[in-house]
Amino acid sequence: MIDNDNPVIAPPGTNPENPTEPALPAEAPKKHRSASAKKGTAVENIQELGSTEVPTAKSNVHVMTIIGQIEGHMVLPPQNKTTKYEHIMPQLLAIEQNPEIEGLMLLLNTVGGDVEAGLAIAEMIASMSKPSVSIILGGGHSIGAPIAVSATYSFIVESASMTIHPIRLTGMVIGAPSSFDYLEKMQDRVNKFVVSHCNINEKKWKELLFKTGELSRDIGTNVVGKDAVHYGLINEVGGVSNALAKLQQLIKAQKESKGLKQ
Amino acid sequence: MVLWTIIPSELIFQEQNVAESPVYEEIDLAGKKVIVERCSPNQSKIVKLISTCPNDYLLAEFQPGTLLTYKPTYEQSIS
Repeated sequence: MIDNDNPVIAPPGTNPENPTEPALPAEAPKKHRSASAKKGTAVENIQELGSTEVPTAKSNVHVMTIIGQIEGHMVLPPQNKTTKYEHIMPQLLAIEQNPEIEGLMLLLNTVGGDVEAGLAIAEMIASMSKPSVSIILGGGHSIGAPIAVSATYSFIVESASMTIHPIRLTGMVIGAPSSFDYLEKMQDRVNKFVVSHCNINEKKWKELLFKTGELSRDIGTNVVGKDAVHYGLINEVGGVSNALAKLQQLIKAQKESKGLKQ
Repeated sequence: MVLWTIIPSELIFQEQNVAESPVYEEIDLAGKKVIVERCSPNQSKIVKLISTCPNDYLLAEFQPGTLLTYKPTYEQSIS
């Protein structure tokens, strides 16, 4: 065979229309089908074809992270890390509707945010038929509290804290006497939700809300790990493994109860 | 809008230099929603993946920090 080193003329045995594709199948593909064949082809698919169909085991538990500020109708400046309701709410509906998903895990590390967006997310989680477990890592402050208690079962890690304080005038509320009533009504909506979704009674919740001397800039209470469980706000102190085990247990219990009904 | 948060409002709404603040975009990448930060006219960096499936977060090509390069595509062939 003549060795062709002219780059313009295609070497014999190759397709001049498509120079990268050899006319005769090379031996290379056979080699690839050895040993870790399946994984190898998946990676190749990503590299060569850009497809991302990685054959992984499907998880029956889906996860949702509630981090930073809960963003409402106004887009917050870009230095804020936010959780947007337009992301969360359709995802919650999809989780509720998808038959392959059996449970929801909520990871919370939030500083609070928009009251109505937070309540909307909390109400959606609370009204789902599938079991959900929330876990507070770091912090679940202000509107993070209703979201945490909206799950079927709630966890808090020992070092995490929750700031329970009254709704403040940080938003755009007109400073008229009626704005006080407006705020009180909004606070009542939160109070009712929290009291009806965890083991705390209204008297204790209000006591935590209006306590003085705990926070430097505000009235209220900073509740850490075990205290949150002690007050009945959160069900249990525990980490990720406890939360996952609880969720699997809830899924199993729901499957069994469904079996009995049918 | 009423914000109920432990972060003071002056910190949330502090004025920022518009030229310096990052530009975030929400794009669709291989069927998954990602938030990217524009680095240059033809490059973006993945900031966050938006998915509820825990397996998605293990995919190497969706890891935060991954650079995406935009290439022009042509709908019509030039004859």
